[in-house]
Amino acid sequence: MSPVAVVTLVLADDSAVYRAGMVRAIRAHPELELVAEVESGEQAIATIIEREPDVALLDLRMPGMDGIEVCQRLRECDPQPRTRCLLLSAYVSPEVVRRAFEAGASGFLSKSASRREICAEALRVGRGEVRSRSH
Amino acid sequence: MGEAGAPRITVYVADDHPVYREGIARAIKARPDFELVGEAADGREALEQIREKAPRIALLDINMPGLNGQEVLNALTRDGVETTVVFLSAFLDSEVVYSAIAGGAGGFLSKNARRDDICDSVAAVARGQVVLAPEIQAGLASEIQVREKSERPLLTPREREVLALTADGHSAPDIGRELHLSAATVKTHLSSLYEKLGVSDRAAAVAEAMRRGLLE
Repeated sequence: MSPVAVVTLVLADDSAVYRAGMVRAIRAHPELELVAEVESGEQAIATIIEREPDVALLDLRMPGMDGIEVCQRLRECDPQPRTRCLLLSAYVSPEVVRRAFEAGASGFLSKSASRREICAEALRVGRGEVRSRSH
Repeated sequence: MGEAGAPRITVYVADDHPVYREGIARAIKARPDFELVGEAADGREALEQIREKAPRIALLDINMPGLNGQEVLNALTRDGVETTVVFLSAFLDSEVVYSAIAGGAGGFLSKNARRDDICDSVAAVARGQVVLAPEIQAGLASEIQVREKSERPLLTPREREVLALTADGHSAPDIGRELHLSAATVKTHLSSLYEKLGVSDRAAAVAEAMRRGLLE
């Protein structure tokens, strides 16, 4: 039996409480591997370029560079970046979801999603099974 | 009981974001001086349970389905529930903060705060303090100043003189003599004052002006 490929992740969220919750969830998931956690968009870009994770789990709203801008910057660096972006947002509107996908996001979830749902979506996005939804 | 033998501070948590709520609940449970008495994902359930359990502190997200945090606070105040509400929000809008504090909230914290800082703030509120996230303090001060200005109608210098003399008990003819104006002109100034203050007689005008700090 071949081992299941692990999906690597970088997590970016400016809320320490939210980040800690997601870190616990990711670490408890056998098919996800957290390679770094950061608290700003600027740190996310630098870390993603350096570590090239399968998925960047990005809070939409962060001080300075937001999650959508991170997606845009990554695409500017490489039109087909190795890392796929999954955005998480406290507020979901059709306009914001549209902007996220135009910027190159592969998925979009509301922060009202549970840890299990977020991990499942990260796995799907990381494996290229893009099934985006806004929850 | 807490470490010092004092009763533990009972805390209720409501937030519709499970990852955040679980993180806060975990932090509350980890403190020996706190007791988590319940949690909810929406405002309506939170209100029912807070009424029933009457915790010392309710740590509420502002934006929740069902009832938002402010509506929960208003209902608790209306019902005379003694729980102190502390808000947690990702969005620190000055108007929202103002309404929360004006409505009797014991604190307004940022969701970006560290768990330890949030817990320390909850403990401080339980001791009777009001705790505001550092990043909202300037915004709240501005909001208070803006509202104060809009509450104070702009009186002309002449209207201020008429108001001051009215407060001293002078009649319209007396004020006219004092200011070298006809009684009719004084009455015009009084009418304008009444309109600006939203009152219909001299006594009410003086009372309202005192309340708004327009009279020394």
